[in-house]
Amino acid sequence: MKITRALSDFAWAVRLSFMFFRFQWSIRATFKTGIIISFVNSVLGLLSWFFIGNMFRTVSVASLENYDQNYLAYVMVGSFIGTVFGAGGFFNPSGFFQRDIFGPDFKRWSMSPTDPMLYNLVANRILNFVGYTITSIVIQFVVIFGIFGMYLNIDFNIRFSMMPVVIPYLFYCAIAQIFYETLMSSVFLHSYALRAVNQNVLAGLLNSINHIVSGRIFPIEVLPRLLRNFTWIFPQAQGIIGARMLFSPRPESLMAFWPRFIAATIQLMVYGGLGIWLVDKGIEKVRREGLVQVPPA
Amino acid sequence: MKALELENVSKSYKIVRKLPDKQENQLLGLRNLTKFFLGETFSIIGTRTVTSITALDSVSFSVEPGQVVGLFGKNGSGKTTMLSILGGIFPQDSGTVHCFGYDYSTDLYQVRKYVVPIFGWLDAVTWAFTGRQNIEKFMIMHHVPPRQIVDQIDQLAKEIDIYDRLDDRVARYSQGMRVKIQVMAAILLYRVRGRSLLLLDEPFIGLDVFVQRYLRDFVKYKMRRDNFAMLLATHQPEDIEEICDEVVVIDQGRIIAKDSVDNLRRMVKKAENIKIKYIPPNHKPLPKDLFQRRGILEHKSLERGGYIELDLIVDDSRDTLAWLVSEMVKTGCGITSLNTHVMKFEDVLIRIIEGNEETGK
Repeated sequence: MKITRALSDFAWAVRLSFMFFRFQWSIRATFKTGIIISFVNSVLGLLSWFFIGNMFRTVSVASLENYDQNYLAYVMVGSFIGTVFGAGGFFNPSGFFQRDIFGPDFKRWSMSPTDPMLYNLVANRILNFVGYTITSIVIQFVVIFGIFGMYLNIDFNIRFSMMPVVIPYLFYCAIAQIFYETLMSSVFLHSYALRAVNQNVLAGLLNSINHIVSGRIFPIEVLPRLLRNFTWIFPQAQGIIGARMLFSPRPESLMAFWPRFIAATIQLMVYGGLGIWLVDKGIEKVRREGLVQVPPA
Repeated sequence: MKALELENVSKSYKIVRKLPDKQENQLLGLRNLTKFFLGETFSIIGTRTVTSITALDSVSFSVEPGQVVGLFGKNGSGKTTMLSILGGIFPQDSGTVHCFGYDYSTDLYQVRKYVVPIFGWLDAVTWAFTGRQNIEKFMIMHHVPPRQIVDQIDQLAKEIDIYDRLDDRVARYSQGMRVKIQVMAAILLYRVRGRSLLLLDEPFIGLDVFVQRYLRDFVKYKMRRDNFAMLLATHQPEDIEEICDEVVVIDQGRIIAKDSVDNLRRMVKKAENIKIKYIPPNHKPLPKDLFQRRGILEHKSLERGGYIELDLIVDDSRDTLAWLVSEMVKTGCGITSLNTHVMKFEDVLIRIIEGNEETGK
């Protein structure tokens, strides 16, 4: 009975997500110049990393061995992998509840049988992921490996043949990332102060750490030992570091990949269970207190 | 010879789910419903003081199938809190609520399938969508396939005069037009539901008089059916008088009266209204002590262009009127017009609430 209901709820949530996605897309599609501008902007964003990377063309760090000590190739690959996590709107834990849960729609949600958490956490995120992330991956792939690689002669020295394994692994880590975001968002529900100032400062702090230790920009060897330990708590770090290991032509890298995979699996379970439980409790709490909508300070 | 003959034929079916006995005749039942909210104050040094505010205090009443119940009370009396609990936005802190036999504490998911809300203050339309898309969104949220109502949208839109703008984005709508979309969605949802608990909280906010009339008539004549109950919270007593079978008067989170419109009128004993327009003798108003006798409960006077308009609430106009007129004539007043009528329902409700507050003090 419960399973049937859950499946039915999920189906309605997906349907609603499709509706939002279709309507949003139809609105965005009218702004055709905007699509071109987004594309150009994406290239310019990469270009800034290109210039930074170009300053350090030859750096002696163990992680860069796969890239012939070429930091530019390292940062370009990191940027490509990071797109999987960034484009789907996963990096906005503080905005998640402000926008979706504490808006006036929350009261409307509460009076309908559709579970707002199911819609937001699963259906809407998956559709965002499929819709926007895949588009971004294609754009980035073309720009990085096509334009930069071909015309600027960057030697990536990675196993492109591993792409069919890397992409599913990144998606797997991205789901863990969704749950990590859920856990971070739950803090917002449990802290009146955070809701009042309308800013999830804790999530902001962790995001800054995540940015440093994710392996997207800095090879982890250059980090202090203390910060290196943080690479084990962020799903994005498992994704980027693990994917780099899969891309690596060295056989020993594959062995080093498995601990990252296990860490991602543990995070998926722990963050998922704890996050959903705490969000449920948090929503129950704000409803009980009647503080569903806290006027921002 | 008969082709077919049936005698004492009977057939029984098993009922899969039976409603609990005590709620059988009630479509909606509230028992000792209590709700607290947090009140808060902030100081400049960053401390927050939290206090508990009783929004609803042991509220109990029931609604029979097909009944329309009006909620009346001052701002902050607990009307919206009650409707929010019934809509499933907030849980109650204590007490029980049953709707269609389902307990709110354990079966809220089921209850939400029957709730049809029209909250005029709830601006919960998606601005990027068109009006039609918002209606579709509302249907999907309530697990109703939009194809079930797609044929009815245009007709209803014409009836409430929004057809021309239905495919325009809501961001370009006025406040009243956004409420119209919510009203449309609720009416369509109501039509496809087999049974429903209709919750209306200030539904007429922002609506023009034509749509107000349409909605009022719709609620009054077209919405009533057996598996239906409606709660209407409004500050317009004339709406309650026109639409509702019963009125629940709430003050400070407690029910102070629950009865039909006629019975509430009787509760406020013999309250009648006398309006007299007169020219005062020597341009001096009548002495105030004159209005503290002979069953006069309240008096107000307004000087306007040499006349004085006197507005009195009295126990019994037949007794007071003859005496008052003779007193006024004795003092030399020139009476130019005189009207008596039964007290407005608004005055009845105000007197019930004021009477309760005085008793409380």
